[in-house]
Amino acid sequence: MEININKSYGNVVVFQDFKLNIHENKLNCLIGPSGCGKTTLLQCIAGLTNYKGSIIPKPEKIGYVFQEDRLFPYLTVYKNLEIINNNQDIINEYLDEFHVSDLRDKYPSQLSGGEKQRISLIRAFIADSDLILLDEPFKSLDYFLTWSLCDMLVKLYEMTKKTMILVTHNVEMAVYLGQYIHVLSDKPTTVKKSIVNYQTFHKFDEKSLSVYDELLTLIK
Amino acid sequence: MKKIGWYGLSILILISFYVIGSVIIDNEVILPRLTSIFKYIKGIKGRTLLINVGNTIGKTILTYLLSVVISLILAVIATNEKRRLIIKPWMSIIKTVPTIAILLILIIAIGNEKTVYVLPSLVIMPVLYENFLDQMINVDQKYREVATVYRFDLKKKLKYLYYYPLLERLLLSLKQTFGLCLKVIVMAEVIAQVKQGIGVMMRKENLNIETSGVFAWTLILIIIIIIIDYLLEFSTKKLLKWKCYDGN
Repeated sequence: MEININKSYGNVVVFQDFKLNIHENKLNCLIGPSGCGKTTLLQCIAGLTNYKGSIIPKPEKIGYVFQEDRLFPYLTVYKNLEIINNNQDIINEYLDEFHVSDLRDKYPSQLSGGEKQRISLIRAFIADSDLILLDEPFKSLDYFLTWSLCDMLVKLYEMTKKTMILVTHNVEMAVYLGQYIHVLSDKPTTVKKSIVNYQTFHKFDEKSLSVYDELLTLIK
Repeated sequence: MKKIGWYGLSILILISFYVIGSVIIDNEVILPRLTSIFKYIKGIKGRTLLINVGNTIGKTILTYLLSVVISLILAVIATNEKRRLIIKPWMSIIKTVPTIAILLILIIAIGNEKTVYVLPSLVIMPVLYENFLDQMINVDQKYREVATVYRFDLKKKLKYLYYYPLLERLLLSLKQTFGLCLKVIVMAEVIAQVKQGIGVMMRKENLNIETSGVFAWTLILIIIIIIIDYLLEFSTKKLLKWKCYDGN
């Protein structure tokens, strides 16, 4: 997917001739300083905000994991999933696979933060989507829960091989998950560097550390 | 002490004050004794009770439904800012003009019987209208985005962005507005001199200087409101299951 856009909020130019290449069927990670427009970029891709320029091919069906769970509070977990995809078998398969079948009849207010975000992840993946956008989905979770959900994300990726764009501030997470890591600059935002990362989905080793150091240098 | 204990104690104190007051005043016309009130209630024929209570409650339900429908239609119309500005002064007038003035105007304009239905509608309609409108124009942007991303069709949008939040608003305001509707209907029955209803009986006993009768019908009204409150609370809990877990 080739992104070539311009976007401003009043006098504030967020993207000026911004170009980014998203790799199909890979986990693409966006990392950069706060307020550089990472969320805005996801919103442009999802059609939630206007922009000038082009996104080719324009994604037709999208799964989106927001910073907060955004589950409908008046629907049970099962119903929240059913309104996205009414295929019972698929819903049950995902609920079983991620050991959350016991949550199916609960309301979001009965779930913990981690459980809510687990269901949000499932919701994004059961949507018959070509692209999954993840906007700092584990932002408000504790350390252990964050990594447990990262593993869930890896499993989901391996099951579906869908194209993913993950926005994160966590360099460690970017190294662990991002097969392609795009480092963004401050406004007007440009891509400082796109790194091909072969150190994904396994424990940190020396090679991971070198990617980590490179990312840290670029972000600073 | 448990909640029910405090509640019971408060009622006991209230009754004690009443009993002491009625003994001190010692005048059945000003403050009848409890025994007189209960004697009156005992003397009311089952059929009279049923007809008058049923009539008032029937009117309340009908009027309330009418108000909900009209308020909802107006709120839908007012989702557009220009149309909202057109409706605004009308609502302001209905809200600010004293109820009794509206009542007197309505009696002249549409007659006694119809007034009993129209007046309560006008009193509760602005409250319901504002509740509905507020919910409609303030649909959470977060859920709008979910609907956009997952390409909800119109039916899904209406159901999940509007229907459930509106149902929640309606049920939460029902307890307050239904009781108000009932009270306004009784007031309208008293003044508009209709044929049947709790207000009619109150007026009749007032004209006969039978104060224990007025108090007895008031007590019946209080009991009805308590029962309705309980039923509404019960059904609200059943219908808004998700609210029961809020704050967990």
